[in-house]
Amino acid sequence: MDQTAEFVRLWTQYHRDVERYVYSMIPRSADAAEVVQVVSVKLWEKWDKYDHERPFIPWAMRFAWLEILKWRQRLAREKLVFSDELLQQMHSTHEELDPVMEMRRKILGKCLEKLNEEDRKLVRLRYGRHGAIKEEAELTGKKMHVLYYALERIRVQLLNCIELNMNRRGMTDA
Amino acid sequence: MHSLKNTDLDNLLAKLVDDSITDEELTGLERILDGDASAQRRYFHYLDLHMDLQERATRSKIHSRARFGLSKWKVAGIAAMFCLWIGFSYFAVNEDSESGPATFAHIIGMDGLIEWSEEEGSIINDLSVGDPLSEGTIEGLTSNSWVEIELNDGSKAIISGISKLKFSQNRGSKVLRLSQGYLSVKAAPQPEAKPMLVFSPGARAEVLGTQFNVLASLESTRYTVNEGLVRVKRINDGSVQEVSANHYVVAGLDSEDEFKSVLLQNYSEEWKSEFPRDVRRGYLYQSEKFTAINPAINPAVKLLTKFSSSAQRILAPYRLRTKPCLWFEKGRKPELHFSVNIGVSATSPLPVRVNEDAKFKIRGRIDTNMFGVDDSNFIIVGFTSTHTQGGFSGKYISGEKVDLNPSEKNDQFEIEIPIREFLKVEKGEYKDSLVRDSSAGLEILDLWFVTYQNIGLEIFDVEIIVNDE
Repeated sequence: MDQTAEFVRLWTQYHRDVERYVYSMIPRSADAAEVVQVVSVKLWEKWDKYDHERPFIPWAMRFAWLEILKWRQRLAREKLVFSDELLQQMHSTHEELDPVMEMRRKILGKCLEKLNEEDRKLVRLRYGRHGAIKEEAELTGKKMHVLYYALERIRVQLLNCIELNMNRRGMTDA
Repeated sequence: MHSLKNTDLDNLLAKLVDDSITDEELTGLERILDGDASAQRRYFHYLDLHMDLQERATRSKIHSRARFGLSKWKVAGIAAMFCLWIGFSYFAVNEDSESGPATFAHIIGMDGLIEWSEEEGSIINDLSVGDPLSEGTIEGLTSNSWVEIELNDGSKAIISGISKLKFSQNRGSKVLRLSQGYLSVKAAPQPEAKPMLVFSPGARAEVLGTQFNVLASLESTRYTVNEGLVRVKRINDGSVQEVSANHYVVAGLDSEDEFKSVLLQNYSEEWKSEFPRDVRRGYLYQSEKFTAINPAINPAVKLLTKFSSSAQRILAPYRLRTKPCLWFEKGRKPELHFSVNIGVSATSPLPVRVNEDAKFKIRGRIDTNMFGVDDSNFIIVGFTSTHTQGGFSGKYISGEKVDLNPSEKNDQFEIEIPIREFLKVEKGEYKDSLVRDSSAGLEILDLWFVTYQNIGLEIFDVEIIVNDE
């Protein structure tokens, strides 16, 4: 296969995993987006060094981890979410969790079905369009914080539903 | 299962993903996570859930109950990969063999990378002229993307540049939702009781039959009306403006600025960049030139620059540095380049039009230490133009790569490029060509700088001047 096409194929297939990982280590969307962009550039630059016999994801994640550390160093003087030590702990925890994440995502679809229509609408508004929650608050006369509190409750409900299903399948990450 | 211990953590995580967490709460979150593997797992699960919901919403997978289970989707193919600021995309194939949703519009012209998301969730980005579109979202993914669609009633809409438009029908009214970018509409006459509705950040408009353009950022929308009348409502306070032909109005999301229809003849042929307002892409930072010399005056400088924009410009001027970008276009080899993008009409309070005698005056810096090969001190300057009556007109770039000689002034440069030296880019299947085509009278939407090697290009400011005394 053409090398360029192969790179595009693999990156397209897995970039969301890299995005998720980077965002969880750098929970500021703009910064995380920057780091993922740099990771994609690095991967492309090093593509000729990639061993095609080995899986792509660990290779890409290694670059992502290095870029996270560089980002951390660049902002060393700023107030940060994580210390170096915690970042290292989180990195290890993430590696342990990797095998169960895909299953959890699959279960989420079923858990969303169990939400009532009102909750599902709120999720759709929050994640569908910038400013939609504010518009909803204006339309319904509800306070913004009430809607955000409801979202917090819905997320917990979804997490509980996922964990229940994972337990039923005998899968646990505890 | 959820425990009491998780309640505090969940509360902080909700604030984290909703961007309302304070510094103290961040410190509290770090304290909870430190050394506690169970809390760390909860953290990852929470953030993963947040991202998953985001992704599902983008792909319209969170439907009302009736829609669940109607289709099965399979990620099946490969798509172009773009710079992250544009977003990523991938093909999806609808395995449902039932007849598709009703056609709402057709594509009648397009260029660049365009992505189409059907209401049901499939994402398609190998569109062609003539393709039918049902209700859904169409997106321009690159600066040079544009697509023109014709709705079933004969209305035409063009989006250009990085833009996102959702269209649907509600109780007989056509509904267009522009969340970002540039939209130009020529609306066919609509039934009086069922006007076309246009939603955009901070505003909602009702249209009966007219030609108008909409320029939307995350914070505001500008409606420019060329023919007919558009009724624009500002969402944050409910005030309404009737915008007639040759007028425009700007509606902000939170702004308390005046919301008033303004005569369109108020356009400008001269312009000066203003950061951070005009930054559309690039690393923006402030160089604190005085504090670098004498750190002792740092607090005074900070205080001055906080309250005085002119002091800020002198003491801590902004600099916009190129960002790397891996650029893929279908059928072409990937290109790594470094670029900045600066809004002109896109971010300025007045539309900026090209005067044939105008020239760009650009001040900036390149890092000669980073030069790799002989020709690495080249930059390419380009701008996106739109017709004043709406619609993407073309991309213009400087006829020759700009040769800089930064041996003096700490690698700083100041260059002038007459607008007539810019050539129009004609898209080819595998290669673009440059043609001489005057841009006079067109509107300049944005301006960009590209280098193909990382030479640390920084833009201090850009001016468009007509008469240089």
